Amino acid sequence: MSRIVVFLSLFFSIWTGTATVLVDSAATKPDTLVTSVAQRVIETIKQDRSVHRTSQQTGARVTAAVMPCFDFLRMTSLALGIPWRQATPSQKERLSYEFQTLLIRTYMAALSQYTDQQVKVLYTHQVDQEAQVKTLIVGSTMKDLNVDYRLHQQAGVWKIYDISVTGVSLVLNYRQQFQTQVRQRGLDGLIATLADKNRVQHGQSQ
Amino acid sequence: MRLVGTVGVFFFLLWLGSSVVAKANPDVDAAEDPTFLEYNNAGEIRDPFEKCNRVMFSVNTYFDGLFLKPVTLAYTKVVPVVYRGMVSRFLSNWLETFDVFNEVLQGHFIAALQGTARFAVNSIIGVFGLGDPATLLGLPHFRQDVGLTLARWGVPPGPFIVLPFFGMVTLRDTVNMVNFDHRFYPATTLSETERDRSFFFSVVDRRAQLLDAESVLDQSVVLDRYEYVRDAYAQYRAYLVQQRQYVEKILPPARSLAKAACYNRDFIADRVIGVLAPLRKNKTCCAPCFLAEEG
Repeated sequence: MSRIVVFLSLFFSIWTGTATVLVDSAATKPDTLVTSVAQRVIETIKQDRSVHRTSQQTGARVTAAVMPCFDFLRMTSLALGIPWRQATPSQKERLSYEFQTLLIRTYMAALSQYTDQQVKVLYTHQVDQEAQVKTLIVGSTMKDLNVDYRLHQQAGVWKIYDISVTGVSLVLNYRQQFQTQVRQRGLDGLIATLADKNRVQHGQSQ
Repeated sequence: MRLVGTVGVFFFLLWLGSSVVAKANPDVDAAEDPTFLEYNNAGEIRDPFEKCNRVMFSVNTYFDGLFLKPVTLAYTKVVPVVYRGMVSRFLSNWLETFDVFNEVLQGHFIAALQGTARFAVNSIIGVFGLGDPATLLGLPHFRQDVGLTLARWGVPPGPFIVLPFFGMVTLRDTVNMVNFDHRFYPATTLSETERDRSFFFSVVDRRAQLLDAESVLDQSVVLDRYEYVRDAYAQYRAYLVQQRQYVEKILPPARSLAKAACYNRDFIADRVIGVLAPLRKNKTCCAPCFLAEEG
């Protein structure tokens, strides 16, 4: 009897476990993913503001919340452009880590202006493994803000690889700056500069 | 009698505007989809006068910090955000006729109709454009200017220039400095001092809208501010040029006014009539919406 109970409970725990995993990844469509990410970031910022957390803590929490939904490697490769091809795996990894810190901060800064607003999906455009989701951040007072997301599907999971605000891509907007840096100081120079800037910005926001 | 006529024409325009939208919904071919192809070279811009531009950029930033920014900050402090929103909507509504004119020049007749309907709705229901009920009815605003018209006619953007006071433009967009909108701008009917005042307000209003973007910029990590702002400008202009392609997809599939209203009921509840806000929480909706959803 007890064996059956153990077996059943084991079976059920595995079953429910896999079920939740499936719901999290495969069942998520681009538009629901986008709204849930934006909503989660806004919620986190709001919560943290009410309990007066430092921006560093908020950043860590937001990162943890949205990490699985972004494809930072692809973002970094797009931001860097051609020099990405010559980069070593370790350079790629370090660069994408710094870029990730930078991007999340920018995304947070942009959304923190709009915490009392709603996110509305205007239109989703999906072609095979690529998708584009256009959203509007609507509020009662401020002008509406167009925020567009680009996603692609990797092993059945949708991941965001670009966010643009009124047509200005957060990722592509760094390409010129990155390439100038690479030309002047090389790829390691760029990584060092980014790390420096991240640290300085971090100190200021405390 | 005249009133009835006006209201009739107005609703006819509105109906026309929203029913036409429903038809345009093309299926784009997957492989050669422009949305994904154009992506990679968005925001490329020629900048042959970079040195000169950089100097002008810092001069502008300096004077902005000295005069315009303090005035704007005072404005945002004194005037609550609700009234500031009214000011910018009022000014934008004023120039709606100019937008319509440009839509016609670009051959976007449907968009011109929608713009006209917008102007009518916002001027009447929105009380001289203080509110923006047209957006809620499925007629969002699309910014137009002569530079965009030239772009539509195939004029390339040309080199990037930073002008004193006016700021960043491409050679093509310098036409916007010429006061084409003069004839369409109702300010021509105003006296000299009133015109100055309206100009002052439009400049401060624009600057105030940039404050948020600026604070985001200050908080984010930027390697080179000049390059960052320049590329953002280029991407923004490219986006405005292309936005027309997306209009059909962006607008809600509104078959009728009721359906449009239903589609936007959350926003109507939130924005126009505060009374409706409790309804939204109960997830109920007004009668026309039910009809539209069932039909």
